[in-house]
Amino acid sequence: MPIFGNPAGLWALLGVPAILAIHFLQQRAKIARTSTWFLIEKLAPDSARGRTWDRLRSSRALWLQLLSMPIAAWVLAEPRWVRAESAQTVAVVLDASASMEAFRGDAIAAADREMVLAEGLAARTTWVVMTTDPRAPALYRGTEREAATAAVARWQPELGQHDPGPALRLAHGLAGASGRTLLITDTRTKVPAGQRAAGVGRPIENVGFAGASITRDEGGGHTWRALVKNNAGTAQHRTWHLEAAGTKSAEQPLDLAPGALTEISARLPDGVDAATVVLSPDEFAADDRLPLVRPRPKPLVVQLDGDDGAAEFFRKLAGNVDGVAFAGAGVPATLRLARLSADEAAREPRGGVFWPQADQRAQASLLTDPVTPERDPLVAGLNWQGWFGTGPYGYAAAPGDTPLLWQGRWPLVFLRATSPAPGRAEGGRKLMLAFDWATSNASRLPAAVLLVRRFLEAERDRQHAPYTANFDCNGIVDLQGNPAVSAGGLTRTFQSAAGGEPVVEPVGAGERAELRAPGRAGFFTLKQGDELLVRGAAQFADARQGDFHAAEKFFIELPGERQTAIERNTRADPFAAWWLLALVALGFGSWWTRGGSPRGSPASGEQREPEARVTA
Amino acid sequence: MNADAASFSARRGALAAAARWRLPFSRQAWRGLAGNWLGAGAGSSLDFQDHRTYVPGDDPRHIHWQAFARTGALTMKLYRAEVAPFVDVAVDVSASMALTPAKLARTDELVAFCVECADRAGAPVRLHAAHGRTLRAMAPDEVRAERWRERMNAGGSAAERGDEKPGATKAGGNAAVAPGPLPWRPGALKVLISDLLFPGDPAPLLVALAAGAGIGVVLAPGLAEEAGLPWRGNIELTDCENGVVRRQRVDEPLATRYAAAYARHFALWREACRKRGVLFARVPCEGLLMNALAGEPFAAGAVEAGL
Repeated sequence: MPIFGNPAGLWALLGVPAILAIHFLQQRAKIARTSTWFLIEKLAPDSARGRTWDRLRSSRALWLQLLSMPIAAWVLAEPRWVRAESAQTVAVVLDASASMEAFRGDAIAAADREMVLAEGLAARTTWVVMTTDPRAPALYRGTEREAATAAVARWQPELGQHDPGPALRLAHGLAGASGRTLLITDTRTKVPAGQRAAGVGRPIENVGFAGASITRDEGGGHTWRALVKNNAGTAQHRTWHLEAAGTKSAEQPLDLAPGALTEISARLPDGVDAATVVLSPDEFAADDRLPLVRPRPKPLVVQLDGDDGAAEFFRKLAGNVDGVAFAGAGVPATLRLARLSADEAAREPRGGVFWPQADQRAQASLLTDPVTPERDPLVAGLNWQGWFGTGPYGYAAAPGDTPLLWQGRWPLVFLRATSPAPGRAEGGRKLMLAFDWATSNASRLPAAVLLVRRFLEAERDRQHAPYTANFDCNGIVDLQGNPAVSAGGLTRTFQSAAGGEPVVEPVGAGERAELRAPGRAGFFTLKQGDELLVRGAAQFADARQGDFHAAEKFFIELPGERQTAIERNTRADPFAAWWLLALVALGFGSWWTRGGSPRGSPASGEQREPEARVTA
Repeated sequence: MNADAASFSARRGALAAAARWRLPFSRQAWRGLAGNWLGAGAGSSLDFQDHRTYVPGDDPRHIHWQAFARTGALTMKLYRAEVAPFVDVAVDVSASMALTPAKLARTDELVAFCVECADRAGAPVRLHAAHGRTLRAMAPDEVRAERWRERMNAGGSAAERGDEKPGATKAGGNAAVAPGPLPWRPGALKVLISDLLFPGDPAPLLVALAAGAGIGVVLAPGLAEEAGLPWRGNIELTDCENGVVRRQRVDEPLATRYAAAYARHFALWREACRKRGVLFARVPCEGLLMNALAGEPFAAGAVEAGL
């Protein structure tokens, strides 16, 4: 099977019907008067109108011309024959952005077209089907085109905004110098320069969720808030309702101006742990359903000692951290908040927040050295410019401690690790506040408040316990406190927000290093064996994926790229000159047959039908 | 061929033909005015016919005195009457009769021939032009002066004159229809000049033609082109009678069927005329009238030798 260096040459085949039409139409209808109308009418009552097309009359000129057209098309199309030793790699890179979900069918068709066009360009073709998701493995790599097509059909775009560059570089590396890569996306701006690409998008008037939050209210219940964005260029009307526990709330109208962002909120019904806020559907369904779960953080039991001002401050602070409970009778505390001396703090086996005894110096001056934070998540982004105090006091950092704040040459706040408890892989942490609390402004400095709160939350999250939370799609799922996760046996159960049967799948080793929430909106659970680790809701939150203003259909072809591949993998038709000669001979023969000889005589002897006489 | 040339040709052709042929006057005894032809009754010719008993009022000159001498009874001696037969000519002036100049000229020649024959026989002649069911009387002098067509055309169409009878038009306009009813006189030599190219049963026309004493003659001018379809392919056919256009594809099978239908049409006419004793002859439009009459018209008895 040859391939054609100039497929446009096949348009010459249109000459065949054109020639036939010319030969059909060359005889015009004749006009004649008749005196025997009644006889003709009786003989052909159904032919009140004759055929517009005349009967095709066979002639040598006709057949010569008809024969010349396929030969002309053959010559113009530049047929080439594939070399037996040629090989190529064709990489189809599918945009993994969630927005592609709206054009999934078109993208699959574009991939199929690319494979059909590339097939036959070499004797052996290796197909690579991959996505722009840098973490996802290739969907297919092999020589079976049917399997490659099936792999494309399995593609599920779920990512948010991301850079396709790494995946494209990998695709180019796999394809090599002689291969071809095609990026299938929906927006021209995603295509790097010099990249073949097919655009399958189109503008869609989409309205969808752009993020959500759920907060605990004063009554102990929870209130959810969701942002709804109109990505269309025109005003849109939608309705929304809440689905929970098999019931459905009344439809609420929602009118949005072009490009408007609005918030809808409601209280999560009591006794409902999971619900779905549903917008009236549009062409992009991924952002029309917002799953919600009632958050339940890991529990953290703290013991607060003392009744001074500092203790009261920590009581209020710890009481506002979700999941934190104060130790009661018979309930062991995991964390301790207390004023301790250096020796007492060193002997304390549990983690916690410790501050020293009050400074007894009568004339302790304020230390004016600036407070400098270390690079640690607990102090990241906090502003300590307003700090004042008498300087480091009470505790001295020991080797192995992790300073968080420095004032001068001394650590002002540092972390100290405790020995692991029996059966635990790691111990707790102590936040050592090495300054005099009473003479400092720590209780009024936001940075200090946030530092302590972050520490409490971090210690809470380090607990080995299940929790329930809402995540963005593809957001990181925190599994600290569960050291056995890396050992395997982790399974994920996912149920789409649109409904359907839950899907249970094991979590691969590659994912366990940085576990993420599902890419599609829905409810999921993570279990280690039979032990529940996380129950959550993955929410569509990347509003950029719901904006289809820039989506368009396009095709970017590299000039000469296909031609180069053809020339590399094929050889020219050895009979091209003979075809050309035959074409010339046919043209001359047709002209001669039609009476074009120099002497003007009908060389073919073809008899022309005389014009009809206008008689009867 | 212009009109003057056609008229001149018609008159000349008719005279030439009448010099050799005449209408079939000698086929029977006629009744009519005194003339040159033996009549059906008693008359004053020299040919003895019969005897009968004298009745008062008879011309005493014709009493057969020799018989009276032998028998004593007055017996009248009767002789054959010599009469001049009436000649009625009806000519179809529908558009098909003027389809081509040749056919028009042959029609005019036949009309002139009939008038010339009647004149030579001393027979009073009456002419009618029939266009469908519309009749118009023509003066023989106009035919002799070759102005009858001009007078007809000057008179306007039948519709314009208001003398068109109800039912004269057919569906689709003035399609071809049979002429008539024609005002034939009893005992006359009745000549119908028509190409007979109209649908329908010949019987009504022939019954009137054969009714009463006299002879009915049908002279049907025909073109060779009409006997077949000379074209192939897509043809825009125009009905010459009403101008209706019909797009028709003509191929070999249709042409074959047409030729058969055309032949069958005239075979039916010929058979119908034979049954009713009407003389039928097709007159080719090609060639001289004198030669054309020597063929089928003479063989069928529609004309006889004038010598």
